[in-house]
Amino acid sequence: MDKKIIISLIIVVLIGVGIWLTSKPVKERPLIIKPPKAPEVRREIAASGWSLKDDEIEAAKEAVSMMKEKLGKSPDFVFLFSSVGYDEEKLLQEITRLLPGTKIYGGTSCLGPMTKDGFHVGKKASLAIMGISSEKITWGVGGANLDELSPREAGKAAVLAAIENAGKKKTEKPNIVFITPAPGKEEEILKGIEDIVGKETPIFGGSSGDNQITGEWRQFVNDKVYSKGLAVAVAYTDLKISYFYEAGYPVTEKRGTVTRAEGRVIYEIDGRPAAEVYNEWTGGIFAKQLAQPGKVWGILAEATFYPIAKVLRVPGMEPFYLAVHPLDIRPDHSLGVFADMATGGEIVLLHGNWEILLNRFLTTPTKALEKFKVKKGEGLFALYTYCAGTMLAIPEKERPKMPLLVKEVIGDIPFIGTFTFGEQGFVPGIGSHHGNLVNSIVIFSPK
Amino acid sequence: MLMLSFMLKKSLFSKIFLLFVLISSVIGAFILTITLQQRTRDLEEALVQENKLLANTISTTIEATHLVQVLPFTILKEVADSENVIFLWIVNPKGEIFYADDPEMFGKIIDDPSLGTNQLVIKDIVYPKNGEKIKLFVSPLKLEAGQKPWSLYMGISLKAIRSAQKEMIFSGLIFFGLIIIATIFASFYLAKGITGPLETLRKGAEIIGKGNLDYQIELKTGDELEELAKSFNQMAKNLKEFHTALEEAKTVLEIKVAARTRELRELAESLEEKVKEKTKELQEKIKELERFQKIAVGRELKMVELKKEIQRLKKILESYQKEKYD
Repeated sequence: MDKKIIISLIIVVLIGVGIWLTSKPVKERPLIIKPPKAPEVRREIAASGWSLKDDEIEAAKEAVSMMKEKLGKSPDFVFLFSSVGYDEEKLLQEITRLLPGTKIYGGTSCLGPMTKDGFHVGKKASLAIMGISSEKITWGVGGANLDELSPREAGKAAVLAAIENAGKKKTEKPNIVFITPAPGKEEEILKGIEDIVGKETPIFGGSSGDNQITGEWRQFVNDKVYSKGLAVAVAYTDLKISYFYEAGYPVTEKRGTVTRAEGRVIYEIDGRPAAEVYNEWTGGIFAKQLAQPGKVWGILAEATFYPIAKVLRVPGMEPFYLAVHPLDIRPDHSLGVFADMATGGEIVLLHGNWEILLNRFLTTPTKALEKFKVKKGEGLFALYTYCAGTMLAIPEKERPKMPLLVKEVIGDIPFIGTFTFGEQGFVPGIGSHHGNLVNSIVIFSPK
Repeated sequence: MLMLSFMLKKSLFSKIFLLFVLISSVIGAFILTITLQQRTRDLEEALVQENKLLANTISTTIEATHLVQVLPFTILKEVADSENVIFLWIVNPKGEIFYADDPEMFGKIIDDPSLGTNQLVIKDIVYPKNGEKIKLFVSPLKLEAGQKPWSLYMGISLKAIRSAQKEMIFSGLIFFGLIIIATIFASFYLAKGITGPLETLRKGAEIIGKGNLDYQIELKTGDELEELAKSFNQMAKNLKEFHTALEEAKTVLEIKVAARTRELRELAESLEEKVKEKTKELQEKIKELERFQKIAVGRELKMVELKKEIQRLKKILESYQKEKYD
């Protein structure tokens, strides 16, 4: 045989061996991933819809259509939360036109609202709506203008209007009250509402938010839009209402007494300038601001992980830590906060991180279900209120998981969530309070 | 084509040169392939070990944080954000994805035999979302006492390995190219080393073959070729001696031939003289016979005989003449 042929054969054999050695037989099989289980077919009493459309009319149509398709009929009552960016007057008019006779309650949410379908953030704006249609709930809505009435009076007026709207007497206390106030005077508003419904009626809600704290927040009551007002909804029902309201931050050992405060400013803690004490508690993260006096330093973002908590003590109960968000360090080294502070009050430093804040979407609904002995999937619908500041502290990439985590806990039931500039909630034995950096959930379920 | 035309020349140098280049190339390619394969295996093994540890660490962390009913999102995010991790899921015993790095995967159902495993499972799978072959790590999560374990699913991309493999192939090919260039040079000098002495021998043989028996082939290779050159030189020397002997023999022969020639010439000359004498004698006898003929007219028979004698003598003379001229 010719030498060239032998050499060629050797080369071919060697290359073949090389290829065989480097390649493995394909034996991998694909991982089988199936779509989620379809929820059990049952008669829904609530359904949500949402839209990311820029135009408020188109957005309203899309969201309402989505909701009505699931619900099968027009709802008696809707929660409506939108981001800023729409012409709210036009939006409410369109929704009122689309849902004649339906009672509308809501307000604006920082960045956008969330539903079980996701966290809805549009390029310009977004909205979500959750409609409820049930003979077992009687809804009433009312509003008040804070420019016309004192906060306390506004609270009273709005809740009275809502009770009246529900067709109930003033003396008939609702099972739950939902509020969406403009930020600023929530404590007084709560007092006004409690003047009517008493301290034992749970009040839940959140102060309407915007995207840049520029006062663009709005409150919705039917077709009425308030910029500095209060929206109230009352519910009369024999359904089971489960709820939980908490900050969820771990409590540190740094604590003291407010020795001088006025409204939403803490001047002194343990007799020393409040900002200096706060800086020490945080390990000196505000030393730079304190070293340059003569200016108001905004510290919202940094302070998100270092809230101050008011310690609310009731005999026979564990203390409740009501978180307050430090807002700014002032030239006199006093500390501006987002809630009213009382001289003589006990405070403690809380400390957290974004992981703790994201975990609240698991822990708070879990606690609500456990506390009221409701199983996953048993709920009919839910309302989630979450502090906008803490939402913004969660990495943007992780935010789409927020509603998914809630869904993992409460099951595939309709819910709507809003991101607020102050949260109001009820703690049994403690009462209804206004706090910051807090979150809450209210779940309606069959008894 | 260049190589082919080179081969077609069929010179010993080209054959040896190409053979060396071919053998070196094949061996180089083989070594490169084996090395590449081994290195890929090493990388894959390192990847497996690294991610095995990672999967165990995450599982332990999830189990620990589950005691307080939270998830370690920071770690999960860091892991999910790392380059090699394609997905990270926490799957309940029913196969439902409880947590996923990708929000789209929440709630989806996994149909996998490794679900609920009690020990770490590592296998090769195809990720249906992008059709990529990946390493799947399934680690048990003992979240609920007495219950079937949950599972941590971690998909690890082999892109890093493939990227490293490509780099290795690229650098390997560069190295291989350099080896080939070096081999070409080495083969050239090696072939030259073998065929150079042969060429010297060939030229020497050619010179010697042309008769220059004094030519000495100078070859200092220290091997059989040098011995062969020495043999050539010895052969030339022997040839020269033989040639000298031949020349001497030729001279002797020439002397002998000259002497013999002289003898022959002298013999011829003496024969000529004899012929002349005989001729003279015959002429005289002829004259005498003619005289007798005139005298003895009637004696025809005698005459015939005489004529015959004359004819015979003429033949003898002719033969002598012929012998003389030859």
